[in-house]
Amino acid sequence: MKKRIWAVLLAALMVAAVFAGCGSEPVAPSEGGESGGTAAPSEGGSEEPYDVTFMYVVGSDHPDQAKVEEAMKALVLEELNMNLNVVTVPSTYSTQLMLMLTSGEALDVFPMPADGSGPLSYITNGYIQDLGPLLDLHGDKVEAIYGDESKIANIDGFVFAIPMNKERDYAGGMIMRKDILDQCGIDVGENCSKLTKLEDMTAVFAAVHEKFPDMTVFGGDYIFTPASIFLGRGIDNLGNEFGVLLDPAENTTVTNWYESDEYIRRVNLMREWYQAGYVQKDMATSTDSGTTQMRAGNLFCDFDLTKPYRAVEAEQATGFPCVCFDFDEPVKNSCTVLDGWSIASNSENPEKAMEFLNWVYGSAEFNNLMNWGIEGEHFVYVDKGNSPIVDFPEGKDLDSVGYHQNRGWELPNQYIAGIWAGNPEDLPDAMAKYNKDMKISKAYGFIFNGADYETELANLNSVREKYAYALGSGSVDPETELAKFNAELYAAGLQTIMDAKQEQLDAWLASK
Amino acid sequence: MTMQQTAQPAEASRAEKAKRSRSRRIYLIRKWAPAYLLMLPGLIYFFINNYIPMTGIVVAFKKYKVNTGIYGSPWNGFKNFDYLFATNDAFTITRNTLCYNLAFIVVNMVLGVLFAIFITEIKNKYAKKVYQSAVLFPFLISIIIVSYIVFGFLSVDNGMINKSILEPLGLEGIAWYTEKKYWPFILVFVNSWKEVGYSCLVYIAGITGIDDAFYEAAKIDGAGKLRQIWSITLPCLLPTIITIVLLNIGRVFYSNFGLFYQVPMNSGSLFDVTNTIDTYVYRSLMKIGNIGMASAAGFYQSVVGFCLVLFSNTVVRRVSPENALF
Repeated sequence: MKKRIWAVLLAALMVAAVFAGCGSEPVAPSEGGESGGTAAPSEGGSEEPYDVTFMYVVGSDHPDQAKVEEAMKALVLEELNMNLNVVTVPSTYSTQLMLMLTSGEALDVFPMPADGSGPLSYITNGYIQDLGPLLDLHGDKVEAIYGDESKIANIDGFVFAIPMNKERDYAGGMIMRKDILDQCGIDVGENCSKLTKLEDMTAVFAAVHEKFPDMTVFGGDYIFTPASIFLGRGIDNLGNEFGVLLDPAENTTVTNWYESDEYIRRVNLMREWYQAGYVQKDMATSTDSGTTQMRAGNLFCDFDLTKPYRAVEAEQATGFPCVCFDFDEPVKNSCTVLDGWSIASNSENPEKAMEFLNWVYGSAEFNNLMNWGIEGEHFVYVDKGNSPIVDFPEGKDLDSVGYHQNRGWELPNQYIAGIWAGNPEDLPDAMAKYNKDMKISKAYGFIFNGADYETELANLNSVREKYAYALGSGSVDPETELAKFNAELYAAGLQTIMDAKQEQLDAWLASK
Repeated sequence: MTMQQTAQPAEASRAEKAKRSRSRRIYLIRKWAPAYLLMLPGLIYFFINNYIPMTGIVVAFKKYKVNTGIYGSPWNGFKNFDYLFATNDAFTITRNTLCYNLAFIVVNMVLGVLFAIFITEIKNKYAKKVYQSAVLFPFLISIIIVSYIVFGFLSVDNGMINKSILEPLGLEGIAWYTEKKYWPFILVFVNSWKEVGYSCLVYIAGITGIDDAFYEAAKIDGAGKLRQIWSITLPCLLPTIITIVLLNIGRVFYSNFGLFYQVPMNSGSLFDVTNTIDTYVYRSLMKIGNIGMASAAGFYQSVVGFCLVLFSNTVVRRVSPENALF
């Protein structure tokens, strides 16, 4: 009998324990919000600070991360009277972000990931706020940079992000090691002026391959070949790969890129290089970037997106002197605004979030903190007041400094912040000129709304995955595979997408 | 005797019986109540963790939006399922998923039983432990690492097979990641190498549980080792084998994502032989991020898996009722 009583007691205890776990205390609602002012005002009736949660990407962990975050918090509290919460994520963070957005975690401002599912899904899934009306309220700093292009990142008028301040087309270029060129006695001229078209690379590759038979002549990440890449190329993607404008500055007819002469030319060229032994054999599946491979020392050339002074950036990243052959003519189009800074629909007070984001675009100090750390401790201005150039403080280098990101392209406004030593001082001006001088796509500002075509887009994506990288790296024969590729694209609904795009584009052009 | 007289004792006995059964019921309740109480937390856990979330399955039929929630989003009929069956890929991915899984089930079962018998036959205690751990070890390696081990063998430029075997023999190197004909074998091999240790462990446990008396009796009757394995070990192991196979059949429409995505390095040229339902869904929806469509695929997989378990269990029950799961 005694035993049984014990058993009952024990069981009851376990049941109680189960429920004890469920009854957590209700979470205190985070203070602030639009009502504000409920707490005793400390300084002459000032509003209670809003808690703004801000996500940004850090390339690698640095020992002084916490210190930098403290400095950010102090700055934001002082200038905006907001409590800043910083969430740092690694460079592939779309899954983590998705979890935060779907689970309703606190999040206000975040960078839309370039590797994720694209702005359309963020809109259709209800993850983000429409920034249009918010920009009208707090948008002066953004407008100072972009003028009437502030709301360029929109789909059907829904402004999903504020673009990062960077180049407005992803033109392609071949980055080559200058020292190898010199050793082979190849003269490419100032700024590669002696190279005019992609075919000119064949002779260069041949010479390098002959002199250095063990060196990989062309390699890198599988997406980054002149034929695999789905950005730039002097065309306008209109938001996704399927149906493009081949001559966007002149012609607004939506065409299939994968049947175009330009694509066939590039694919055949890659095949020629592959068969001649210039291309890394595993390129179709390689995930090591060209930069990484070049730094390791056995790669001569890789393909990458270019911009002014790209060779300088490559030199800093690889440790070898580099030259860059820009073979695509840049065209200003919407593909560079697909990633940008967005405001989550989880945001408790989107207006406050926008106020913060707008402030970031105008705050040199905050952009400096994100990229270079604390002034005087992690970086110093070489000639403060006269020059934007910054460098390591006395006696510090990349290994000993406590914080150093160098991810300018992910900052809201990299050109307001310090320019790292080694870069030309006129980088911001050169970039502004580059963006101003390039041709403009007639569809600039238009992004296809594929919300009703998700079945087709899903199927097209899987067809693209199947062929684009194998063809783009030259590892399969375009003679046979290209026809199959296009046949499968049409079977997956390419024509439907192209027709829908044309219709939306025509309507958009008419409304302009 | 009148009717009344006969009815009297019958009624009494009925009342007696009812009373007895009532007291018996009370006795039973008192006897088993603690056990049920002990079971309660588990049941509650199951209900909260495994059954309540099942209502979320409606998301497969919804045009899901986060800000309106699962139940507030508008219905979408079967539109979320369209993309799974819209192209010829539907056949390829279903075929690949089913055939690979069936191959894995058979190969892993045969190898698992074989290894388990080998290991239990080893007399040296330490050697036994070493072999057992060695077989299990690959099971504990992350599939990402496995994919790079495979890459170490198959890489065209630096791979061991090309550089250390084929080329020294004067043969041409093979571009493994673009030649699809080799991959059905590579995938089955890699999967067995990785997974067989686990099923082997279960079978070893099964064999250890067999009564030694059977073997002693067989020895006295003059049965050799092979005869013992054939007539004692295998029949005694049969229930374990059937349970494991049935459990695996339930997952026949799911594929090991890492195996089919990471090990072939996501190579497009191999999709005809490496694309399964899971990888197809991943590739299609990576750029679209539609939760409804992804759930539709999960719904499809679990319903088909559930039906297959019911079906195969029925077959087992017909053939040997005592081995059926339910």
